[in-house]
Amino acid sequence: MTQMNSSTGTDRFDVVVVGGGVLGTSVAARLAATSASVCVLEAASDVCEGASKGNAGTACSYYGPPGTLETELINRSYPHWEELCGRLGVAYRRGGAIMLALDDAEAETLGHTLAELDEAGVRGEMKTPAEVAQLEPLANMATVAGLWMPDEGVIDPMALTVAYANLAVTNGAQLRLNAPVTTIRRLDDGSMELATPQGTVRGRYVVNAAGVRAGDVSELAGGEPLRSWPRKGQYAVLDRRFAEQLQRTVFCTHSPTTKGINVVPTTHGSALLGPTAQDLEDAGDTSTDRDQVEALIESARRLVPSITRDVVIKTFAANRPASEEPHRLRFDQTVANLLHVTNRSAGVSVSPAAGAYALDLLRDAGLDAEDRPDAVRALPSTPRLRTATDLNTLFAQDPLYAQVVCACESVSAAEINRALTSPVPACSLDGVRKRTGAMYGRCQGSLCAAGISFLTALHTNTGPRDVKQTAHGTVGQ
Amino acid sequence: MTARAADAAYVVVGAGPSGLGCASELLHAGPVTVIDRIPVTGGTAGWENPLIKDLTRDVVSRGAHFALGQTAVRYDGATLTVASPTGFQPVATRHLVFAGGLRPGTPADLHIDGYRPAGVVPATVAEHLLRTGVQLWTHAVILGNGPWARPVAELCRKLGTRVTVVADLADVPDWSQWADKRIDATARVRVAGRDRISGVELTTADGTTSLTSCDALVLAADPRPNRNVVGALTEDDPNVLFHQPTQPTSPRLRYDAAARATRSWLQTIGGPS
Repeated sequence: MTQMNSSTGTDRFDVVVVGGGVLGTSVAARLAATSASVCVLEAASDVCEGASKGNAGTACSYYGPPGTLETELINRSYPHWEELCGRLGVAYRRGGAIMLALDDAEAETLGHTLAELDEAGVRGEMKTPAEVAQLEPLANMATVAGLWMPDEGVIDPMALTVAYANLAVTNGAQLRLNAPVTTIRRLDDGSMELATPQGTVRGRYVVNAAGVRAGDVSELAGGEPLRSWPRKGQYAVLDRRFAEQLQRTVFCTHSPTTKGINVVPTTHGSALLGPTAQDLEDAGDTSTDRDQVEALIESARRLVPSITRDVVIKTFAANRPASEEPHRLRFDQTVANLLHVTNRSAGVSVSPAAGAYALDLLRDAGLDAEDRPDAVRALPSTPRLRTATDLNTLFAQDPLYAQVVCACESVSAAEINRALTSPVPACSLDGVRKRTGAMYGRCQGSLCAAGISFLTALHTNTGPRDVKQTAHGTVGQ
Repeated sequence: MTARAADAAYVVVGAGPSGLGCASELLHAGPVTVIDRIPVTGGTAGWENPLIKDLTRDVVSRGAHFALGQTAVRYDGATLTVASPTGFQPVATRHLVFAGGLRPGTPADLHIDGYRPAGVVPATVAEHLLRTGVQLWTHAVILGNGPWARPVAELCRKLGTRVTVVADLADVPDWSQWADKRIDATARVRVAGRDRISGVELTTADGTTSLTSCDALVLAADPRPNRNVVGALTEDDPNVLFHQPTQPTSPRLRYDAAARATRSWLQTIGGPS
């Protein structure tokens, strides 16, 4: 049923999804639960290789003014995160967020934001500085006001994307990795033929969920020009020895041009500072630079002054798609069966509803997709050693839980083996990290990456030189 | 020698020269259990080292209990949770001595700029991978002069990999015995290359940048204490001793320094229990 990677000849599908990020996999997971046949094409050797792995991991209740499809999809998504993440075995926490105003001008802006929240039907409440300090003791004491948003949450965006992909594949979707689309040909019967290094596939409908590269895919298909460009965000990750004290997400007041630098506790117990915003030409530029990182930390210290440089354990950059049309979930204006599914920063937050919405659009356009009662809705859960309280039960489940591989983040061989054998398995050290959090801690794999590369080599039938360190490159030359 | 970890007045995590030095001193004060992740004593000094064999025999004969091949996972001030092939085990102890050794600085620790491609490898990892006997790279740049720099360089060269070390001459006076080239340490280091590393850009304090092409960057700079027992990460509990000095480096001197540090710690917490 499941066929990954190599294939020859032309295979036909009702829907071909281009892009294995959080939106592409969400759409695929929804479609796979119907009678429609689905194929996902991903350019990289793993899912979740673009903006979906490089974001702050917020699951928003509010992102922008009401009246947009984006806000509508966020409103349809956020009440259901506990249920969805429970089914998919993804870490999620509705911890709430506090947006800080540090001067009177910012306090005025917060007032406007609160009005937007009210209009959108999202819970929000203005708090005094004393109340802010109670909600988040680490927040800057010198606030003028705070906007409390209890329905803001944090999520593991990599686990979410992998879970959507696992669910899609479990329900019969085909996933082709290492399959960048090189040409798209429109056939006489209206369907499209997409050529990739992993063979050619034909789809009656094509979903363009290619993120920062959505414009390229539209162009290949002869669709409308989608003006979008990469916006680079740099981030810093804080050690859990500091970050575990942080209770809430701390947002800065939005300015008219940017949502600014935020402090976000992660579901792993670390915290993320970011993102910076730098518009680029080159979607492959994910370099970091010291000056931006220092500025980022300084901005974060306005929100949480006790942050210091020495608790930063990792910095990274990722590109999100910026556009004058920030949210695009609609059919192409010229190619009737090309459905664009792209979003600016809030891809994770809209993803549950975006899958359902895309299916509705496809059905309206004539796709025959009956919901299958036998479709799998839940994935087998993988308990985490780090958060487990009853260790003996864990050991009874799988003795490999007592083989602690990544000590900083308490990740066991049991969890790593599951990541390497799941329906969409990790195929690189980074793939293991994305699925388990191993090597994500303060030593960044100094002690465990050798062991994890041996385990990964074993499962991918490679060796110490050819084992993939990232989705794009091997350890050895 | 490997057994279930026993409750003890003192538990030492780490059975290298430092851990053995700590254990030796603690045995004057009360029962001692020594835990190590790997199934032998010696740590980075190696279990075949005759000195390690002697020191291990000595503490064993004096009653130290060893739990090797076991990992200390969590500590709550009274109980240390230890993972072993037979399961998770609570070990009651009021005093924890952490001698878990050193690790190289990470890219974030070292403020390294640029990309995160494959081929940037911590020296501790490089050492393990190279011990498989497979040539991984043609030209490795080794950044820093930590204790791993020379062993990694020697493994590389034995497998036919050219080695450039980035460290000041004063820090690696013997570099020509184990590296092909040396470049002075610089203010800034930037990694070039997207999928795999293609080179390292080194920028001096006066702003001069030079690119060194390579297919690996081995991080061997700025050794720092490795800490990973949840609940015992910071020095705010007087009943937890961290002994992870960067100096001295010889096993004998490390053992002696650990014994001295343990003696003075025992005095601060009120002597033998």
